[in-house]
Amino acid sequence: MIFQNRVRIMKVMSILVSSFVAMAALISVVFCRTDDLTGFYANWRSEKLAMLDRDPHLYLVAAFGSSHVHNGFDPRSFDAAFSGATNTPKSFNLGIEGGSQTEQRKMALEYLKYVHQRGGQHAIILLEMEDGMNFQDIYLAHPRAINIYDWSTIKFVAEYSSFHIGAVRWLGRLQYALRAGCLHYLNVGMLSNRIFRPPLDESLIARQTADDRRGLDDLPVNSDMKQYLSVLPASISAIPGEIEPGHYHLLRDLYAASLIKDLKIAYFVMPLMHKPGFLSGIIPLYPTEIDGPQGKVPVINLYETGYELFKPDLWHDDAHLNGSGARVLSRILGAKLRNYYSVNF
Amino acid sequence: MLFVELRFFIFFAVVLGVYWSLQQNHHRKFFLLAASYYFYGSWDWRFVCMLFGLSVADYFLSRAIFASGSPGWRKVLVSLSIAMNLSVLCFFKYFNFFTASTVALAHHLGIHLSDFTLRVILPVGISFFTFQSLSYTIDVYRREIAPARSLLDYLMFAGFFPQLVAGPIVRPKYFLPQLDSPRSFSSVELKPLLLLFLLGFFKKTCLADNISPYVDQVFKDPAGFTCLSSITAVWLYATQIYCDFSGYSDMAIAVAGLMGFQLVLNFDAPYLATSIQDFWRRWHISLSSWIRDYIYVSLGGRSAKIYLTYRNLLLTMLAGGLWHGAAWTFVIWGGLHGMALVVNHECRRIFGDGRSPLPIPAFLGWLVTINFVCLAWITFRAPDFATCLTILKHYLLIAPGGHRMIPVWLVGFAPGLLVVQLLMRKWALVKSLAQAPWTSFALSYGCLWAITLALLPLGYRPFIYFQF
Repeated sequence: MIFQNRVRIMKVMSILVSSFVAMAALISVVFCRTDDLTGFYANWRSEKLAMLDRDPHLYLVAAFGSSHVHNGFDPRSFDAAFSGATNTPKSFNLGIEGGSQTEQRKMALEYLKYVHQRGGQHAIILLEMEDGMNFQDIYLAHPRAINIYDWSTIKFVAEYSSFHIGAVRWLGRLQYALRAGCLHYLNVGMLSNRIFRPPLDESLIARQTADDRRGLDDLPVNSDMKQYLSVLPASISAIPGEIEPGHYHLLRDLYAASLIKDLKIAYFVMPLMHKPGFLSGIIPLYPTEIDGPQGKVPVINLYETGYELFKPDLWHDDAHLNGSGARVLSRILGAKLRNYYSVNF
Repeated sequence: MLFVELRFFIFFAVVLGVYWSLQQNHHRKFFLLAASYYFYGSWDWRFVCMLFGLSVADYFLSRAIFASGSPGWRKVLVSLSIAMNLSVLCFFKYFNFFTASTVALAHHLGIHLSDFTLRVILPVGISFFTFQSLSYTIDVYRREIAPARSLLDYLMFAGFFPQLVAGPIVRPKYFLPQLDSPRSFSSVELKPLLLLFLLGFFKKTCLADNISPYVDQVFKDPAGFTCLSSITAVWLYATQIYCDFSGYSDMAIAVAGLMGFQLVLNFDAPYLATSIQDFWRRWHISLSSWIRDYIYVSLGGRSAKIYLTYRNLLLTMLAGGLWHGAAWTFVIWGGLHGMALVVNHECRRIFGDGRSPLPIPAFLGWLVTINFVCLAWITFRAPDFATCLTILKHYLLIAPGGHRMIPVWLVGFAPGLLVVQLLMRKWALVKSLAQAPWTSFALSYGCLWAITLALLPLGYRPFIYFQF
């Protein structure tokens, strides 16, 4: 009797699980194609892509990364320094608040599709080297789209999580990626995102496109920064910056996805004062180039500007530049990149 | 810990497994009590002590009330219990509201008082468990029930986790006898309960949570939206609050049922009501019957003098409104419903025999009722009177709206759901699925969960009634 009951329970459970898996697979195949993110909504990430899409001009340079880029890359200053007095190619700020390496990757992949669809034959992608990974629970509960943890994203994340970061952090990242992956493959939020898609925040779009800002969200001056920066020592010392396998993985993914003839990619290191050791004058040091799948990729380290960027009136807080700071940083980045390309191409 | 969170699923799986593996009834009760306090403590451990302290005090007070032969002493003791519960409720929920209102009134009269507010954290579900405790001591005082057999039984009654934070408000005469003997797993109706849980989960997460951003948008800037958007937002809010609260109640009933306990039905398709009286027989049934039995009856209930009956009705509904939240908009909401009940009684008295429903077509009764209920929801949802007035004007088409719109397809969302509910009741869909063989049931249940998860919004929103 007991055996019969157990067999019956097992049979019912297996039917239940099988029907769940079959229906989830069906929904995934029909509605949740992650190679096309345009049907999904993801807070201000979608607004950034909408700004780009609505603008008739073709932008052939784009900067990606987190809020450090979102608030720190001024396309107008970059263009002036990078292209001189000419108006082309114009750049766009596609950095996003709270954006991680995974989101930087998704945004760059979307951008490549955009350039191809608009008939562009060449483009330059600027990637933030020290963009974080956002292994926090709040990012699990993000609206969907760019934060999708499909298998390719999980593999990408794994390459930022080698054992050298320590077992606890490694395990933490692993369980996060597994949870995020589970959410994705259970289709959590995928249908609701398509049906109950919230409208885009037009006021945000208007603010970030006014005065030809092209995605820049410039922040105000902060008077507290004067005191904060008063402790900076006169001399600086350098420690090696970390280049993870994920940085190479990102390059491979972008070149593999690109359908345009001439794609150039550059990494740049945003100067951040909240990094450990910075107030003692320690900055990360990177090689000037790393190997990419199609040749050398420059690494523009913006810490290496002496104290030009570390003036109180250029910062909003210890991690974000204000509007003036964004102009200075973008000018330096544009000039350094122009020098690099003039020497190497 | 919310019923819709993954950690609740893990918690409940452990609780269910351990609970049914225990053989002795008192072991089960001890375990459930510990689980209930853990559940409540997941919000704030400090309030577990408060819940425990109140429960112990009520238990001993009720024993003293029952044992005493002196009517005067019994009255003193029951007053003490009522005062204790109400002062806790008033302090946490109404202190800032009353002080701010007093300061505003004094200011209006030309007397200047300094603002005095405290940073009070509202213990989740305080209105529910204090009302439940009050019903216990009052029932003992009225000699309608004997006190709980043991402190453990009473602590279980006061702290049983499925209904602790948002009801249904359980009556002691209904719940306490269920603690006398061990629950039997064979008497648990698994299929209906599993379906009820899924239905509640779907209503809360896939319906209420998905439409709430649209409602929030309109109530945040009502002047900017068109009249059609405002009307749609009001209908959507009516849907949201129903799905949110009845969804929680469904899940609570199912969770309790899976442990062998029965809770009372809390919602019975209220938007299909054909009169306001009918609405209150179907909406938040455990609260409406509570305020009827403990406020309306205590005030005198139905009286030979008709104006006294109407006064009692109005006062009861005003108190019901204030129970929902510490704001004048809730009081007005209660007042509106009180007046509607008075009008309903008066119409029945004038046009009928005073007892039967009004002699009007059911459809007309439904149309008037649903529109009144929706209009009243505006006061319930609006953060202030200005918002309330703007949306009211849009709803009644007496003021021009703005230019912003929410998606037009949402106009049909609430009416569509109402039709679905009507058909589900007519064809008894849930019942038929629950009666299906286990294999067909498992097949459908798995598919339904897969669809539900895909419709889940990311980012949980708390249950609306938790704030009450």
